[in-house]
Amino acid sequence: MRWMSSKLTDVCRDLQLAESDMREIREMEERSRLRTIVAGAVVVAGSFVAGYLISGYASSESYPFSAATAGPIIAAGSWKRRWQLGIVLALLAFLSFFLGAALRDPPSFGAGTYYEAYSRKT
Amino acid sequence: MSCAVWEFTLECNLRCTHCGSSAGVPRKDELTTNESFSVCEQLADLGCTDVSLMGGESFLRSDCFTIARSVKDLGMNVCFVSNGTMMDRYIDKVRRIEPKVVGISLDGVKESHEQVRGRNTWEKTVSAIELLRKSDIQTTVITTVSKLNFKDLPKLKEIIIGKGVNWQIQIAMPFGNFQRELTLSREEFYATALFIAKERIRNKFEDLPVVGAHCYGYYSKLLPGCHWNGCTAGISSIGITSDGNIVGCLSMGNDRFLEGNVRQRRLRDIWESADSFPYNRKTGEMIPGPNCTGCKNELECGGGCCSVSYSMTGMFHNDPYCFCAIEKEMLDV
Repeated sequence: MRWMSSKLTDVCRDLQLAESDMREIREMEERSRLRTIVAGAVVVAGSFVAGYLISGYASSESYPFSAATAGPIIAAGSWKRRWQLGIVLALLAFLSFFLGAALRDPPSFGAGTYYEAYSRKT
Repeated sequence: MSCAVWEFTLECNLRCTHCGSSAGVPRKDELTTNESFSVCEQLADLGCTDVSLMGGESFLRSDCFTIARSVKDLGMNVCFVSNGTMMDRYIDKVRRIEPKVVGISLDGVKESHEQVRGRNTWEKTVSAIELLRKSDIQTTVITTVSKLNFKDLPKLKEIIIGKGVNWQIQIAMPFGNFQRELTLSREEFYATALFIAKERIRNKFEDLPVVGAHCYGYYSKLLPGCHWNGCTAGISSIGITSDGNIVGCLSMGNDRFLEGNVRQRRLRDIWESADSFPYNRKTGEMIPGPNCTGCKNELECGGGCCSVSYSMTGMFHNDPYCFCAIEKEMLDV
């Protein structure tokens, strides 16, 4: 394992850790990072487009509700409002994406107490 | 406060070579049953959600389950940590308490486990794990690693996988009975972390949830699932010794870190005092040690686990077992 110090490589052998395991850990972390970035970008962009389109529809003639019931932001329909709604939805998506990611994958390290494994499992 | 770890008695039926509190005989003046009830009430009053009863061996105190019931009745979760050697005697009482989880110490295969914990302990401990699972009680196997047993981890995994238990791996620290020369080298420490990472990839979390404890987890560039928000001692957790002393963490048994005693002061006074737990609360005054100086994660990390940092280097904010530093030194990532 050229990317590891020789002493660490020796100790890894004691724990039956092969080079392929190390490569797998490394690739998994890289893939995970890439997945997070791509998924985050897709969610945020998708939310922005949705917000933009909803705002446009709400201000169109085919929208069945009045400005009063639709609320001032949606019904206003100006370019400025549409951009604002798009940005607000994109921010919400951004936050929920990271919250979801944090809840989905229980951490492998740094458990504060011995029963956190259980807490996280459930 | 979310968690209290309570050394319920220092009495223990074992004399483990790595025991940080040198357990064996009870402390001179352990809290009485009534004083313990009062502690429970004060913990509930502070909003504590989880109370972990450990020792010594907490089951050796005759009022252990009475106090555990009080904890439950006050709306908090009870957790036990045990060496498991007497579980056959107490399993019915444990089941009736409905603990959130029971932690059982298993330090390796028979030979190394008994080298640490004494003869004829391994089978009893393994039986305890099976007994708990048969009783449908959530069980965490706690393995404390040192030079004596870290090579056992692969074999130990084969023993516990499929048993429906959680597995927490933590490192032995040089205090109490444990000899400094048996602590893991940084290479050995990092290799155990790689082992944890590998097992997390190989097994579904539901099949064998392996976690590195508070002593693992500072800003790795390589290891997945590595989160660390700083030491929780005195921030969200507290340690209570069997004679009523309050510390941030039971692994910080040095008299210097005693914040008060529940016989002299209300727990709330100790917890809310501006002078308590300065090593973690007065972050503005934090001076990083040589291991952490110049690290970009210094403020968020706080220099790692206070107990590890202090026991290994004699100072806080200087944890030598840090993924970030080890990777810089030993890996090309």
